[in-house]
Amino acid sequence: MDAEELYEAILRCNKCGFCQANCPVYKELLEESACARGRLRLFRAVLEGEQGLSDSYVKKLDRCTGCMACTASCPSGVGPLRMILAARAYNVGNKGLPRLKSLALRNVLSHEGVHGLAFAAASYAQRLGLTHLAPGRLVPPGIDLNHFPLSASPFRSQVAEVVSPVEPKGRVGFFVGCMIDHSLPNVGHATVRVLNRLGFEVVIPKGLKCCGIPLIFSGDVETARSLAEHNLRILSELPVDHIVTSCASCGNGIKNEYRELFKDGELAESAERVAAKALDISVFLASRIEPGQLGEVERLTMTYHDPCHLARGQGITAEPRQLMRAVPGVEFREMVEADRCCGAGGTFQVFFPDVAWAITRRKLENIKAADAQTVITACPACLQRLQGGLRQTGMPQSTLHIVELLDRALAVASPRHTVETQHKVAVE
Amino acid sequence: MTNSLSSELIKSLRQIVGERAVSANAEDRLLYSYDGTMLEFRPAAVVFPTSTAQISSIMGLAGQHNVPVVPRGAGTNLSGGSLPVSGGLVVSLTRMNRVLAVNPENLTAIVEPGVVNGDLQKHISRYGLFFPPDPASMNVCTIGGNVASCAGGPRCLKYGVTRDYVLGLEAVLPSGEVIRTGGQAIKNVTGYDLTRLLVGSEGTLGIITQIIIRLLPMPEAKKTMLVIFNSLVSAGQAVSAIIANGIVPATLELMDKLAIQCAEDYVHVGLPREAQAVLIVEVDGFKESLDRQVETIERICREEGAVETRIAESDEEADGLWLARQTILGAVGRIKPSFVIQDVTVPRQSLAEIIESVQETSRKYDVPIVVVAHAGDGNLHPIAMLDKRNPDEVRRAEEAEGEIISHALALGGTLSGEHGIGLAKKDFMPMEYGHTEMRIARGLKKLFDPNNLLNPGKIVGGNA
Repeated sequence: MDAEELYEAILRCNKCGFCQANCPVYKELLEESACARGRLRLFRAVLEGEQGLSDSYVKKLDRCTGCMACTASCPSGVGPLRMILAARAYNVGNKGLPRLKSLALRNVLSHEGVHGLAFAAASYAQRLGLTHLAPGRLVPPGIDLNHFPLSASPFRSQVAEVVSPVEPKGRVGFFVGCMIDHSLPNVGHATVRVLNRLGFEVVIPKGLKCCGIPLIFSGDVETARSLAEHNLRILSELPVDHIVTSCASCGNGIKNEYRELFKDGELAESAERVAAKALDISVFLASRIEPGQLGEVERLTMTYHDPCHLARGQGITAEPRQLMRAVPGVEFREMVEADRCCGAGGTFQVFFPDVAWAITRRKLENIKAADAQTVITACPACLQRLQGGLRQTGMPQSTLHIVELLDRALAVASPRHTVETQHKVAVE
Repeated sequence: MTNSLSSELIKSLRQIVGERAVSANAEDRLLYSYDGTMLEFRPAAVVFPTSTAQISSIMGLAGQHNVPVVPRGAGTNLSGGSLPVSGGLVVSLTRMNRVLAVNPENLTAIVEPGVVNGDLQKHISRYGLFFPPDPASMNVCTIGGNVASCAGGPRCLKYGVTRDYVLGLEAVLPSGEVIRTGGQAIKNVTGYDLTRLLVGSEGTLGIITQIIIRLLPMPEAKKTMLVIFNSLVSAGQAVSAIIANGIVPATLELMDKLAIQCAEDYVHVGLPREAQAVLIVEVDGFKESLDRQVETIERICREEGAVETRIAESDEEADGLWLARQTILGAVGRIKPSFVIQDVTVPRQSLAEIIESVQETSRKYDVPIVVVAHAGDGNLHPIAMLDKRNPDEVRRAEEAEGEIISHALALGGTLSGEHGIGLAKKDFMPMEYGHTEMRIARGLKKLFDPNNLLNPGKIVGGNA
């Protein structure tokens, strides 16, 4: 959107205030700057030259989890979250990223080598118990440094680039993403196993970088674009019918944000093609798993937390529930406000930990009220946040990614079916 | 005009409410300059109290420093009632938001002003109770705001408006004194009805800090229908016919073609985009009564020219219809960025006539006007759309507004049924209030607020 289109779009906000209804940040702070209407009005003032990019202004625009509840509630089609992201991009374009964010996002997350080293170092520090030394005041509520999931080695170094069952009937690409790679590799393994069991060869390109969503949400569109371009070149060449993601944010990135980033350029067609092939793992599996293939894992009551970037970002709410209900032994219990943000919001939980923790606490209350033993979700970022929150409050509920549940259920149903040894060659 | 507060005053305010509950920075001055209208006036500062005692101290200080004070809820009102036209201090009640008590035996509750209407409904539904006023903005507007404007909503046709459900209030006067009006008793004629004076006073007589509300048991069941018409006027006539036949449904909401299309663009529930008008009719009560109400209404509508009646078959379907109705005002942003909305209310039998005249006015001034109405009450919401950057569009919209108001008053109607006069309708007050009425009203204002510091410039008041 060019500046004029952006301004016209913002003007469509006629101040009805309905964005206050479901905004998790507004519900905690109860002030106008904490709802989309307020943020948009401030951004409009910036575009009109009346408001400067003060630290307090930048903070108000950053203080949003990106849950898209405002966009869902907004009757005028303004798409308030997109406006907020545009405002952040404007900030970064004019002021640059603050040093810490720049370090974390540009220098670590976006760089393959540094990336791996940093996470490995963090994991090592944790295993050595060094995280226990962190002074209390540096550790934000809701983030338990001692237990934050960190893998000793990235998922993608634990698997080959192509993992194939005995007689593959199809081939899918798997965009892993940073959270699964560095934090929750089990979700990656479960994804590969499930796909193999259903007869799919899985291609996990080593060259892929961070999807770029954390960069987009921080306003660093330039870095996001270069990451996205890099990824698109690989993804568009993959000889696969589908590209699955087990991370709602990566999925939203590939399906929606990439098209937005490149819509007027030479990569537009490529972005469209890749978006058309991209599928969340729950959608991919919902139409391909036969009920008979799933065995009874345990008799458990389970509830589901809708990741924001899946439910509102991609409109996917039915398939994960359908899959849960298909697993024998699972008694499904719907949670109140199942699609309300868990409080992670990517880096939001780091930079606004108090608000994030208040939002997480409400989610934990809803989990408790759901009276279920296990919480299932479909995004590793949510999974990490829920795990952390449950542990910190001493709640007994266990958590699983939907694909981990299916992995177990498939294994129970056909225990003698083993996965073929992994190939070690890249796909031609 | 008070554009800034002395640092001494800011410091004193911080001592009352805490460091983080006072802001005088440029961003917050902008953020508290607007409401649901297209008007803006910057305050000098905003403060977020959480108790009556704090508000009493704030008013005392404001009085000492001669600073205007404007109370505010969610800031979604449509009359300009929340706008600090003389600058000064905005007192946001959003953080004073506890439900203090629910008494199912007495069918009452006590709430703080910042409680969101929709949140209250959810809370009391656990007791099988509801609070009838259901403005379209109920998921964001506050009870304090509802009381200050005597809010309505679709259900008010059957159940009555906010004032019918307020038994008592606690309010802080401009002097800082705290008064309590009414009480928990359901019937109360002890002394003058100060409660009802405050309800609808739009924050000009006192800041409401506690509300004793009356609740009702939820009806056993309800049915929601969408009735489709090929003419807006015959929809209006159907409304009159339904009432004349002795049926008072819970709601009788009217939407014209443009309203239907704007709403459908957002909600996608299958509203008939080519219909000239629809009625959303909801009946409630004991299960056994519903079918008969529905059949009767259906028959009457058919006789008045309805082409189709759809009965919602699930809660989701009914909710979808209500979401469509509630989001119209926001949805018209798709057509033009700004609007001027009317709230004229005419005697029921004149509904068709006022609708026809609104359509004429729209054509005459070439202003797109969306018509939405609490039709059963004769309460029309013509929404004139414009781009406020275009002075010609502004002028024509204002002229259209003037004409609609004249017609409504000529039919024996009133300026405002539920939104309030605020700032937006103030200039029209002399068309409805005579000299004596104005004198009495201004006298009351003077009694409560001798220095004209509380929400100045609204209803009948002068600017500070």
